[in-house]
Amino acid sequence: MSKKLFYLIISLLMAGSLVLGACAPKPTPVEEAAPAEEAAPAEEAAPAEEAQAEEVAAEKIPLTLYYMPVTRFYYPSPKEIGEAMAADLANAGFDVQLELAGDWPTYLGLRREGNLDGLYMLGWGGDNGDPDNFLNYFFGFSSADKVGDDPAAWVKSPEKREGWYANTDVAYLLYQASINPDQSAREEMYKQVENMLHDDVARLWVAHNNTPLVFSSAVSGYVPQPVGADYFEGVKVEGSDTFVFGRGGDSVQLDPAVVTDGESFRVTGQVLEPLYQYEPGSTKPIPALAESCTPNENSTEWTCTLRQGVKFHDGTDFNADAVIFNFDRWRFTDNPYHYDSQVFEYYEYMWGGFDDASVITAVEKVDDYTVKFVLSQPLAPFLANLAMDMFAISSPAAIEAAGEDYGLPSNGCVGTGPFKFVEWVEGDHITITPNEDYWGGAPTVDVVFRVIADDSARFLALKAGDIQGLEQAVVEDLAAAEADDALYVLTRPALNTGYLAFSYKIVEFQDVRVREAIAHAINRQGLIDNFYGAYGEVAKTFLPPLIWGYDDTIEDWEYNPELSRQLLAEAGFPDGLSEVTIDPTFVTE
Amino acid sequence: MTRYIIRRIISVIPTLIGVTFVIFMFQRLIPGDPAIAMLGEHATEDSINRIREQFGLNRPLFLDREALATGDLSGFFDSQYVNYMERLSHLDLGESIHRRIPVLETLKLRFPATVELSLLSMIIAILIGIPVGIISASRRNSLIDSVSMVGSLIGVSMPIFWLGLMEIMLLAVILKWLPAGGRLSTGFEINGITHLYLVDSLLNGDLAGFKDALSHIIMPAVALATIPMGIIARMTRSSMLDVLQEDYIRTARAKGLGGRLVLFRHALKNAALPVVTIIGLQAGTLLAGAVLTETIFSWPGIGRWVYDAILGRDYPIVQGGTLLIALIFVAVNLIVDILYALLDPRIRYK
Amino acid sequence: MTQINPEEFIVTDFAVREHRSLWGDAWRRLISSNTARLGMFVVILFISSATLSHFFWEYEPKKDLDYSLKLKAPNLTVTEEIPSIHPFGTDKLGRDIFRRVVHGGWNSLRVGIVAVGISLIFGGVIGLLTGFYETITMTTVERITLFGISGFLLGSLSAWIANQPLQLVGFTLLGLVAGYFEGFWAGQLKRVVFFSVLGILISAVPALFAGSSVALVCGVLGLLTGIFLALALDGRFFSNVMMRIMDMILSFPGYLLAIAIVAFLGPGLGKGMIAIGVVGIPVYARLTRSAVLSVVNKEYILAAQSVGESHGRIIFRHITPNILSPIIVQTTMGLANAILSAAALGFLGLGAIPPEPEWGAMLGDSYRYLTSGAWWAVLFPGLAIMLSVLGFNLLGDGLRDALDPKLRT
Repeated sequence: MSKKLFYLIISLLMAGSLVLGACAPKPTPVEEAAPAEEAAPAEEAAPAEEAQAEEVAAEKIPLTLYYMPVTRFYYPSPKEIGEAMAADLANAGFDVQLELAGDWPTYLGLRREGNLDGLYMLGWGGDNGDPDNFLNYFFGFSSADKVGDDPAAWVKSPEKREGWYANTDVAYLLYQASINPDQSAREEMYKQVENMLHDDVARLWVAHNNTPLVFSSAVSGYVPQPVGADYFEGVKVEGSDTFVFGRGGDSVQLDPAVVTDGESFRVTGQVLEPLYQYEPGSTKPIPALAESCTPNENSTEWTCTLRQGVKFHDGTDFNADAVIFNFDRWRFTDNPYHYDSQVFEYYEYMWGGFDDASVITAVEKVDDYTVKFVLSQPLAPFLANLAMDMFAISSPAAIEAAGEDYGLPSNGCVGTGPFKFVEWVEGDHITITPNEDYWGGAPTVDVVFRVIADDSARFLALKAGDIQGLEQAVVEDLAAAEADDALYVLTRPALNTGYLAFSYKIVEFQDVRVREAIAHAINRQGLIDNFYGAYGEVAKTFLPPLIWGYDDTIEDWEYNPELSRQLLAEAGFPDGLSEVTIDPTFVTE
Repeated sequence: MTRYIIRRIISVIPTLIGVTFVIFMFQRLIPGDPAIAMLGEHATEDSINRIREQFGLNRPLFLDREALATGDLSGFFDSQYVNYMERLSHLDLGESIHRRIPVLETLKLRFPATVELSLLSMIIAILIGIPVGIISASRRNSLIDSVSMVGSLIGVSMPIFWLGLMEIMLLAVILKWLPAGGRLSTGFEINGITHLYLVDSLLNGDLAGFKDALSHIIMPAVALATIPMGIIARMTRSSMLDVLQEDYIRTARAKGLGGRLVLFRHALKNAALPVVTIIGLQAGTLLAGAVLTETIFSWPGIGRWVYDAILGRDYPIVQGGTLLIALIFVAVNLIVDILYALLDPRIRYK
Repeated sequence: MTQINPEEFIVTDFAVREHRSLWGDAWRRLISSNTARLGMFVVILFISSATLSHFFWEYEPKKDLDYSLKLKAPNLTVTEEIPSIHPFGTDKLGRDIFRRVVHGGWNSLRVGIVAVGISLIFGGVIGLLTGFYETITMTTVERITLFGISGFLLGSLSAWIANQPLQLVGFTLLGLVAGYFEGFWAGQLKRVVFFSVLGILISAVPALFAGSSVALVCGVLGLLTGIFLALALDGRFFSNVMMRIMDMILSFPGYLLAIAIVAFLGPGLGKGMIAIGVVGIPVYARLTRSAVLSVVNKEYILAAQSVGESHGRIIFRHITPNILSPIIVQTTMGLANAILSAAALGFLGLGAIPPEPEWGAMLGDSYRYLTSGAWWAVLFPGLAIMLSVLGFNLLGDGLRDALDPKLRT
C-alpha cells in the first residue's frame, strides 16, 4: 500500500466522521432510543424509590413493554416476539420501549410486587385441565379479600401480582363456580367469566402453543398428554429395546410431591401412579390406582375403592395404609417424613394449605382397600386434582428407608407404575426399565431421558440417531422434520396461554379504549405464523379450546392498526402514546 | 527461599477471605430469590414466604438493627453470613437449594468434565502455539513469520462462541462428521479413576469409547484453544527473539554451531520461562471461557452449571462453583510466582 | 517489509540530524509497519462507519418488521420475491442484517470504549497512587486525608449499626487527629491504648441511647477502629490493601463476575459497560503500578523531590508522561478485549435492549436458526466482532512496536 494513498484515506475518513459527527443535529430518534439512558425505569421500580415516587403526584414514564428473559412453551422466542409486538404497536402509534427487567427470578419478583409498570409478557400452563386452575389463580378472591361470612359482600382488591387488576364480579362468579358440584352449571359460569374478561380487555391473550414432539419413524405408541405426564408405556422402537428421549433440562428431584417442574413429573409419571389419572390424550380423570371414587350427595366425602393385588416395585403391598401414609406425609408439617428442607408446594396450592388449613380434613381407612376423603367444603375439581402427578403414591417402605434423600439421584423413587427407576446421572440422563408385573400390562422398552439443553443441538442429535424422540424444537427445524421421511411430529394439545398483561397502575391503561387499541394493534396471527408455525393458535380467551368451559363464540379482536389509532384518538391521544403516568393511588410498601 | 514461599502463601489468605465475602454479598444483593426461581409462574405469596423461612433466607445477612436494639445479640450468630462461614470452615459447601443434592457431589461429577476440556485445549494450544512461535522467531520477517503472527492475532481476536457456532454449522450440520454437543453418545459409559473420559477409556482399553469421547470433545476443545494458542505463539516468538539477541547465542553461532542446534539447545531452554508463565496464567482464562463454550456445546461442566445457578439463585452452587474456580486461579498464580522465584533469584530478595 | 532493523537504528542515532520528538518518532515507526497500518485502517473503518451511519443513515429499529422477508439469504439483485437488496441477508423478523451490523457497530464499539474508559480511569488512578506511595513517604496532608477517609468509612459502619450519625463525625475527627499527630506519644503501645479508649468512647457512648447490646457491638467496633488508626498507616499499607482487593477481583472468572454484576445492576448497554469496566480495573491498576514502580526511583524523580516539588506535580509532570506508552498499548488491546466481552454478554442476552442492534445480541438471537441453514444471520455479526477486535489488536501491536522498540515482538 502506498503511503500517500494511506494518508489520504485515513485523513478523509477521520475528517469526515469527526466533522460530520460534530455538526450533526444531536437528537435523532435513534439516539433517543439508545438504551443506556433508558435503564432508569427498572431502577425506579425498586420498592424503596417507589415509596418516594408516591409523594410526587403524577410521574411520567416511557411506555414500556417488558419481555421475558426465558423461553417458555407459551412464548417460544420471547425476545423476538417482544420486538415484533413493539414494532406492531409502533405502527399503530404506540411508541413502546422494550425492557428486560432482569433474569427470570428478578422478572417474576417484579411482577409479584406489581412493579412491571407497563405491558408485560407472561403466560400460564394448566396443571389439571380444570378451568378453575386457570381462572381462579388469576382473577379469584385472595385469602385477604375474604372478609366476613357473606361471599356476596367480598370485595376484590387490586392484585399486585396481576398488574393491579381487580374485578369483584368476576371473582365472585369464580368463587361460585369453585364450590358448585354441577359441571354444566360451572361451564356456563366460566363462559360468562371469559366474556366479562373479554369485554373488559383485562389482558391481551396472545397464543396457545401445541408443544411439538419429534420422533424417529422407528418409534410408535407415544401418547402426548395435555395434562399429566405423557404415556411412555405403549412405546415400541423398531429394532431396539431402548427408547432415548431428548429433553431440555434435567429433573429437579424424583419425589413428585416436593417439586413443581415438568421435567421431574415426566419421569415420576412413569414410575409412580396417582389414584386417578387422565385419559390418554385428554384431560378427563379416569381411575388408576383407585377403581372408583364416589362422592356423597353434597360432595364433601369421597369414598375410593382401591385396586387390589398391586405391589410397589420394592415388593411391598399397595393398600389403604399406603394411601393414608402418603397423604399424611404431605399434609402434616409435623409428620416425620415431611422434612423442613422439602417444599410440598402443590399440596398447599391445590388443597388450600397444610394441617388444619387443608381442604382434606381426614383420610380414613374404611378397610384394607377402601379409603374415605373428608373435605371441609365441596371441591368441584376433586378428581381432577387427585389425578395430578404430584399426588402419585410412593412406597411407604421406600420413603422410610431413604428418609430425606427420597427422590434424590442416589435413591430415585419407588411406586407402582409401568416403569421402575434404574439410575440417574445428574445433568445427563435418567434410565427406567419396564415393570414386568404392571397391572396394566408391562411396557416393552427401557426408556432413557437424556438432557440436551439446546434446541438445535437436540434436533441434530435426533437426526444423527443419537436419540429417538424429543420435545420442543425451533419452528424452522420442525418444518424440516415434517418434510423428512425418517422423522415425524406429534403435538401435545395446548394447555397453555401466553398473554400480554397491562399494569393498571398506569393511568392510561385504566381506560378500556386504550387497552382495546393495543389489542387491535398487534398482529397476533403474524406472530403465530412466524414464531409458532403450524403448532400455535391465536388465543381469544384465557382458556385453551381443549378445556371445557372454553367459549368459542367470543369474537376476537381483529388486527386493525387503523381502528387502533382511532380508538387511541377517542381516548384522547390523537398523536399516539409514548409516555404514561403512574397512578399514585396504587401504593407498594 | 522457604521464607519467600511462606510469605507468599500467607499473602493469599486475605484474598481468599475477601473472595468468600464478595461471593456471599454478590449473590445476596442480586434481586429475586430462590423461592421465586423455584416456583416460577405458580408462586403464591404464602408459599414464597414459607420457602424463604425454610431456607433461612429471611434471616439477616449480618446484623439486624432492630434485633440489636432490643438486646437480641444472638441474631448475629444465626445470620446468613455466620452460617455460611461456619459451614465453609469445615469445608461443607452445602446442598443445592433446588435439588438438595450436596454441591460437593455435583462438583465431583462436573469438575472433571471442565478439567478434561481445559486440559485438552491447553495441550492443543501448546502443541500448535509453541512450534509456530519458534518457527516465526527463527525465520524472522519472512512470509511465514508474518502469516503466522497475523494468524495468531486472529486467534487472540476470536469470539469463541462464534467460532463454536461456525464449527457446529460446518462439521455437525453440513458435513455431519461430529456430534453437535454433549460429552458421550447414548449407550456409552466410561468409568474410571480419573473421570477424564479420554484417559479412562484408554486405561480401560475401550477404543470405541475413546473414539466417541474424542469426537465429542474435539470441537469445544479447539474453540477454547484458539485464544491461548494465539497468546502462546506470540509469547514464544517474542521471548525467543529476546534470547536470540543475547551474546551467548551469538557466541554459539560464532563457534560454528548449527542453527537448529543453537535454536533448541540454547535458545529454547532460556526462552521457556515467560512462556511457562503465560501458560499458567491461561488456566484461569480457560476456566472463565468455559461458560460460553459449555453453553454452546451442551458440555456438562461447571461453567454452565454456575451460570445456571446464578439465574436460578441457587446460592450454594454459586458459592461452591465460584469458590473452586477462584481457588484454582489463586493457586495457579501462587505456583507461577513461586516458580519464578525459584528460577530467578532476584525476585525473592525484593 | 519496511520494519526498522535495530542495528540500523542505532547507527542513524549517532548521525547528526534534526531534532525529533518521541511521539513523532513513534508515529513514524507506527506508520511504517504494514500490520499497524492495516490495524489502523480497520479501526478507522469501523469507527467511522458506525459514527456516520449513526448520524446520517436513518434507521428506526423500533418499526423494523417485515414477516414476508424473514430469514432470506443474501442477495445482490432485486427479484420478484425479494424487492430489496440485502447483501448480508435478513433475520427472523425480516430485518436487513447489513443495516443492523453497520448500526450495531455504534453500540458494540461504544461499550468497548466506555468500559475501557472506566477500567483505565479507576485502574490508572489506583495504580498511580499505590505505585507512588509504595516507595515515597506520604506528606502530613496526605496522611491526614488517608486517615480521615479510613475514619469516615469505619465510622459510617458503626453509625449505621447504632443509627447515630455522631459516630461518623467522631471517627472522621479521630482519623484526622491520628494522621496529624503521627509521632504523638513515643511508643506505639501507649498510642494504641489511647486511640482504642477514644474509639470505644466515641462509638459506645452514643450507641447507649439505642440500647446496651448495640453499645456493646459498637464498642467492639470502636476498639478495632482505634487500634487500626493508631497503628501507623503508611503508603505501603495502603498499596498492599488496594492490591489485595485487585487480586480478589482478578481471581474471579471474568465472565462470571461480569454476569453477576449485570444481574445485580440489571441488564442494558450501560450496565454492561460498567460490568466489563469493573472487571478490567485490576489489569490497569497492576500495569500502572508496575510502570510507576519502574520509574519512581529514577534520578529525575529524586531530583524533583529534592527541589521540593509537590507530590501531585511529580505524579502528573514527571511520572505520568513516562509511563504512558505501556498504558496506551494496553488500552488499545483492552478495547479489543472489551468488545469481545460485550459481545459475550450480548450473546447471553444481557447486552443492549432490543430492538437496538448489537453484534453479540444478533448472534444470540439468530444462532438457533443455524441448523435450518440460516448461516448468514450468524456469520456476518460474528465477522464484524472478529474484524473489529482484530483491528484493535493489530493497532495495539503496532503501537507497542512503535512506542517501545525494545519490546518488539
